Amino acid sequence: MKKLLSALLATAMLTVSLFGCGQNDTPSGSSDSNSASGETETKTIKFLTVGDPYVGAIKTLLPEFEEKYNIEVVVDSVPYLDMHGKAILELTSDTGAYDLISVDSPWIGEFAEGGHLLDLTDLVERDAEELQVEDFLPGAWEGLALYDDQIIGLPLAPYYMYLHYRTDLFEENNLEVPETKDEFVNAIQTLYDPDNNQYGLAVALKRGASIVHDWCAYFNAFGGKMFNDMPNDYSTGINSDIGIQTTQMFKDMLPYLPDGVLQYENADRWNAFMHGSAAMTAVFNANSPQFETAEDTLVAGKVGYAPLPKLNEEGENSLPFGGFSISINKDSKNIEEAWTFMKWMTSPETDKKWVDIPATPGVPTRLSTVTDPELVEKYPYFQIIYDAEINGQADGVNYRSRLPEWTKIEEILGLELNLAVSGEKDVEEALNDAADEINQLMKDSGYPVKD
Amino acid sequence: MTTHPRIRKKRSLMQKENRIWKLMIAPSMLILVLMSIYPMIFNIYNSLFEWNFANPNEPKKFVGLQNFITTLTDTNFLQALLNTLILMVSAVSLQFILGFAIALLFNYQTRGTKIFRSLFITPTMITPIVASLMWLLMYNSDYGVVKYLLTLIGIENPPALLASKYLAMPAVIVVDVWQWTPFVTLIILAGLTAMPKEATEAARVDGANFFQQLIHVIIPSLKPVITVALLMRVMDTFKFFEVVYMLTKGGPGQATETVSYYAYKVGFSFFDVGHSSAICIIILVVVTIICQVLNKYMADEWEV
Amino acid sequence: MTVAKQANSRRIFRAKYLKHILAFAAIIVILIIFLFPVYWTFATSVKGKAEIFEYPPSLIPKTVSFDNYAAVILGQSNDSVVLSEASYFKYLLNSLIAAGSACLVCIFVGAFGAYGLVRLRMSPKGKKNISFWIISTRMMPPIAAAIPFYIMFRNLKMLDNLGSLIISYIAFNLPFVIWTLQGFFREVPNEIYEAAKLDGCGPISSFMRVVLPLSLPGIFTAMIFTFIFSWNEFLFALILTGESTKTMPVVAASMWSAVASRWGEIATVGITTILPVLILTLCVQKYFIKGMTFGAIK
Repeated sequence: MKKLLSALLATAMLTVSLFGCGQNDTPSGSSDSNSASGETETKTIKFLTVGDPYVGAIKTLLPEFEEKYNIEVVVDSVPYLDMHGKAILELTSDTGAYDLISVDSPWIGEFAEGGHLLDLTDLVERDAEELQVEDFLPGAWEGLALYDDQIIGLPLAPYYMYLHYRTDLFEENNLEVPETKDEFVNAIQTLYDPDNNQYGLAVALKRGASIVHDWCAYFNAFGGKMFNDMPNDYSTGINSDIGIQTTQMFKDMLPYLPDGVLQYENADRWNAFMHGSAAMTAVFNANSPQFETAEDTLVAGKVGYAPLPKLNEEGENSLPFGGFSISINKDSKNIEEAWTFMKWMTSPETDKKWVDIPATPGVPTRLSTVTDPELVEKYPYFQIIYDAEINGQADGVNYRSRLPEWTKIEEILGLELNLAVSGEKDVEEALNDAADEINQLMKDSGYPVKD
Repeated sequence: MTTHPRIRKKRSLMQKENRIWKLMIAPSMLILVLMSIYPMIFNIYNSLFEWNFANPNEPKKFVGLQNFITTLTDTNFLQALLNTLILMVSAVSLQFILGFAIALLFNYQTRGTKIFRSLFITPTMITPIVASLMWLLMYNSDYGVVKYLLTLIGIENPPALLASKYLAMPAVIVVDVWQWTPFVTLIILAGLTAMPKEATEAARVDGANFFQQLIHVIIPSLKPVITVALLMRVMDTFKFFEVVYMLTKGGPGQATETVSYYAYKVGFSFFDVGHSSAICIIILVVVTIICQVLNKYMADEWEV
Repeated sequence: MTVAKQANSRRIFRAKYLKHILAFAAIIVILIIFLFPVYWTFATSVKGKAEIFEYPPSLIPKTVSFDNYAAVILGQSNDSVVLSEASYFKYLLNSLIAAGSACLVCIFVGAFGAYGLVRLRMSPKGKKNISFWIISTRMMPPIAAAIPFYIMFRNLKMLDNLGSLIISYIAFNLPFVIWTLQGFFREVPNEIYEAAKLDGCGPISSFMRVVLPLSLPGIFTAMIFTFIFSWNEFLFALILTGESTKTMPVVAASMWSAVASRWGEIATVGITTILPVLILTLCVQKYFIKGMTFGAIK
């Protein structure tokens, strides 16, 4: 009996130690924040963001904000690959663990229609004067703040995609900056010099987000539309003539591109440009400063900027953009503090500072920033953003899609485009297959789709 | 009818002991039941629903076996399953061939190699996510060291491995073989060390050469160890995910898509929880069948 | 006659000697091949940023700088996810707490469980079924458990809490521990157990005093692998933790971005993450190799 008792005791202790362990190991974090909010005046808000370089810029500026408003901001960065999943789990958890969240433009619909993002309309109206909405880059405002009659966030980091080219190589080869697809193709062929490890273009064609990302940018610049006639007709335009021409161009150019271009991810194309092996590449303005200032850049002072080429002379330029909004989690318990931070972060004054931080500059969100003479001289590509923005050519709505179905569309497109460009599947067949799948998906999700 | 008091005493003692054993097992069982039965039920239950986890406003919809039908008729999934089986057979057999050879070497040359054995396990210890990123760097087509090493051994203009339909899978297999061969090696080595010397000695006296010894003596006596390692590797291949996720995203085309990555996309990217539950159950069934078959034809390991 | 014999034995001796040298050389070559990626990780961590992108790559770093270590560990860089010394050590400590406690609890609970299962008197078929069920819990793809676990810990209000991570790691590694230890406990001859009983040891104390010490290699092996698996786990660490409870693999992954190539920093985190495991392994290497049979040799 004694033995049984001791065995029982041992088991009990075991169980206690197990469950006790879970409790004892409760990390200091949660208790910290409790005591912080309870004992002192300082409030803590949490910001979940993707780990892009702008995080460095935010962290550099933060002390200023924290001192001024007595609000502590915990910035938690997550790799882009995992950000979408992590964000959805956090938002659906209804815990409001994160007050602020950075939302990539293709996720806006999914997060907003899931009812996870706070509608800021009232707050924007209340603080209209302080906010100076009219000073936001208008396209960025439309693409990153507005969704379905709601204001779901403020533009934090609009990433504009345009052409970066090597001025020295273009001069050497007597080339003009390509304005149309034909000139673009011609430039790629002219600049092809594999013996000197020199290629005309670097583009990301790896399966998945990479190829979709780049293909959609050129498709958009050529005048293509992801959906034919929103909101009346959600049939996809990817298998239109423009879609076929875009895809065919990449397929035809493949022999002129670097060997590994089919395994290129976003980083590989700007690395190739920065280290001198590609004469052109279309990347986001988040990368533009790196070409001039990064420790390892080989192209400083030799970079020119231009909008992406048009399909032909008649076309109109388009400046596709994606990037991040800063939004408030609907379950946040610190809405006012979060709103204060957002306003401060995107204010014209802060904007001018954060685009000018060495090593990890932020990206502009304000008209007053991209027209600031001093800054424009330092960052000449601001001109491109400004030109497109005032001409209404900045397109964040049709570039990819902001609908909740995007992750699935991206998966379908990512596979079929990769098959088409690599020549494994006929271009038209691949695009038609992708279009059929996407149209079916849209139909199933209840959108009007005309045949 | 009365039982002899001594037998009765013995039996009650046995029962008492048995009760103690049961109590010792209890905490483990409690944890396992809670932690494994719960996800199991979750998956089985939800596999019958259409459930968009990202949108709480959309109600869960009962769809019966629709998710299973969708999955099993999806050519992408079937391709992923085929890829996983190819990966499993080639990676695991390579790991065993190499593992066996290296273990025999270590077993032969014991002097001065002890520290090497411990160092040899390093690839298995490195964080998979870091290892995958490092291989992404090494496989880079512009500045990757693999390209350079290939030119050093005389291959001019080595192709971009991850971009090639035929070479991407081998490139992925290389990573798995690199990471897990040391693990298999050490298991076999431990088996070799524990094996009684008399057995091989006797075979040698009978005039068996090395390969005869290997096939008739060493391998049969190592069968249980091999089975353990084999089962572990087979199970892990079906969880194989980080490398594909970081290196190829399943491409080019569908060349390197594996079931685990496929399930990840459906579950963690589309948040189609019903569909991903169905996929997980299908995977579980396939793994169970393979493990049972292996177990039947190798050694009966469940009884260990 | 004797001269010939001597010459013969010398030849045999020489051949044997040569064989050993060859084997040794082969081991060195194999080791170099397998450790090359690890070396490359280290080399990348000490190279300058520009050197990482050079082609042909320099097999031996031209310049050795520890800037990346300063950036990652001490937070001396703007473009880094880890921004202060305090946070780096916080993350390292999180990893240690999560992996360490999971490992200890697993071994403790698992050892009792495995021993109980070995000793338990029941039908072989029933035992076999239990064993199979235990190991089959290891077969599920990680995503199958990720969402249900997330929901469970959300309802328990245990998100951003190392406790939830520890519980998950215990759940994943317990089958492995039980499976491994069962084999070792079975190896312990019944006579030893009976002898201990005659000496007046109860079932628990005979287990603790006699069986456990005999199974140390198994215990250590199970411990090391439990530690490694928990230490390196990524998906659950990503979804269950927040800023204050991040573990090292999540930190490493956070360095990866589409608009910044932080190879040096990633490599640095990789190297600093593997060191504790390597040290642990070297400390118990005597038992470790022996234990790798996983108790399967009877």
